[in-house]
Amino acid sequence: MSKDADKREHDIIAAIAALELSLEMCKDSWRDNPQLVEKIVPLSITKMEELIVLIRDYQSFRHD
Amino acid sequence: MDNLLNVLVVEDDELTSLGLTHSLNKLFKSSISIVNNASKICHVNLKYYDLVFLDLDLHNQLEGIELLQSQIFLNTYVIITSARKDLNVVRKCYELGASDYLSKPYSPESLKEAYQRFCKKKNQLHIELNTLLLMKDEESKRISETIHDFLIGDTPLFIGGESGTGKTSLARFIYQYSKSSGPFVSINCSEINESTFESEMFGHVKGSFTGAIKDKKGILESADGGFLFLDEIATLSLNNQTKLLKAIEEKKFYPVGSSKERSAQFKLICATCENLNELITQGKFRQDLYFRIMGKQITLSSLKSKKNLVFNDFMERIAKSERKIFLEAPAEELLKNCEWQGNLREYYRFLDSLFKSASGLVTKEEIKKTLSFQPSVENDFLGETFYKNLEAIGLDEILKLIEEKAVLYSLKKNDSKVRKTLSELKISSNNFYKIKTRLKKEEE
Repeated sequence: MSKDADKREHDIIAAIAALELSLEMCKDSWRDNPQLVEKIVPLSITKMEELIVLIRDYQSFRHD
Repeated sequence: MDNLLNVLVVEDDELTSLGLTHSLNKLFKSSISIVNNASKICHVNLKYYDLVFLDLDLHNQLEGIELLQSQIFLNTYVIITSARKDLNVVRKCYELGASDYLSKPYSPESLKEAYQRFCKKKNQLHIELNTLLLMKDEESKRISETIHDFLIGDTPLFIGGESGTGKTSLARFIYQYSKSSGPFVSINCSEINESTFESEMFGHVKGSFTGAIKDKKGILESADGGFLFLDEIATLSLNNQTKLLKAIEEKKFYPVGSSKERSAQFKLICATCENLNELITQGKFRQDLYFRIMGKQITLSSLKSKKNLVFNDFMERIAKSERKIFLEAPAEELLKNCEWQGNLREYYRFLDSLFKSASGLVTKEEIKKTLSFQPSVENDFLGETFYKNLEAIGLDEILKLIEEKAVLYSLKKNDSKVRKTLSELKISSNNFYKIKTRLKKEEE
């Protein structure tokens, strides 16, 4: 696998890992610590958007 | 591990660092700091952190590896968190001193296992100390904390304790534990000749004095990048103490006959069995040198206070030994109550000698022969305090005190019932009331 593909795969995994942690935080905190959830949600949305772009890039890169 | 842990998270992604902080808080009591940029690490005082989570790819790719390479995390427990699965990268991290590697995405269970590995490693030090220096858990835990502080800090370490308590072994053990790639230079200051001190410590250049046929590196320069252990530091003359103080303060010195300054970086450990405070009062030890070497301090206790530990260690060794030895009851009793003069050094010499020579049933006489000292106080239930008081206030007073304590103890135990007290103490009522009257008078 080329370095570019490696980098894309790495970024995708890192984004999934961040979202997994975010999901865990939301599950634990939505009742007791809504302020934290309020902080996490916009960050998570941004991260999801980044992830979508990364996956699309990765797919088009593989098709090329 | 109940204490609050200081954790540093080096992670450029805000969501990930928040998530990791949240997961860590669920696992253990911690105070967590986050650094989101590699360049900010230099502003962080790393010695306050027990544990570091380091992301490999910060703003620049593999910036985490560069941080490891710079050795700023030396002697800190670093857990790498990365989405990289390239085995070469993983290997490189371990080679550069990382303690653990967590692949992203990691489950809470993996994080918990990593934490448990960290606890195990932290405990490993005190378990090894227990074995090496026959320590009680409490003592070895305290000492292992000091060792950690010393290894990640800049201050020297001072090891005190009676002769034979294992000061040199501990210094060497700390060096091995540190995994330093530098040398371990151990010097007994009492062996350094007064007149050749400068040449020994700082080195000399060819022709600087008769006999200096070639350039010679001194002790300080030989320790560069590693550890310098100065044993019996109290034996240095005041003049040489001054020279040493200057050199260890500035880490710069001049070899004899040279005008070219040399420098050396080393971790300094000093030891002595002398009471330095007393020597300062007597004008035999420089106070400024004392303050310079007394960074972190460890005082090793003598074996006299660890009779049980020594005996248990001995029995364990016998059980593990391929050569079976059995102790006769009086021999066992002798070892149980033995006051180990000469401490660990004598104990290990005794073991060596016994395992070489003894076989089968070992008698009390054989044990006595193998010991290099005469076991002083056998079966003595009175203890050190008794003898100290005896010298201070005399036998009559001590006997009175014992009588009074015994009466008070027995009365309390028997709900102030006199008959029961008399029968328990096996004394006459006359005697009993004499003691009671004395107690009353003392109260008045």
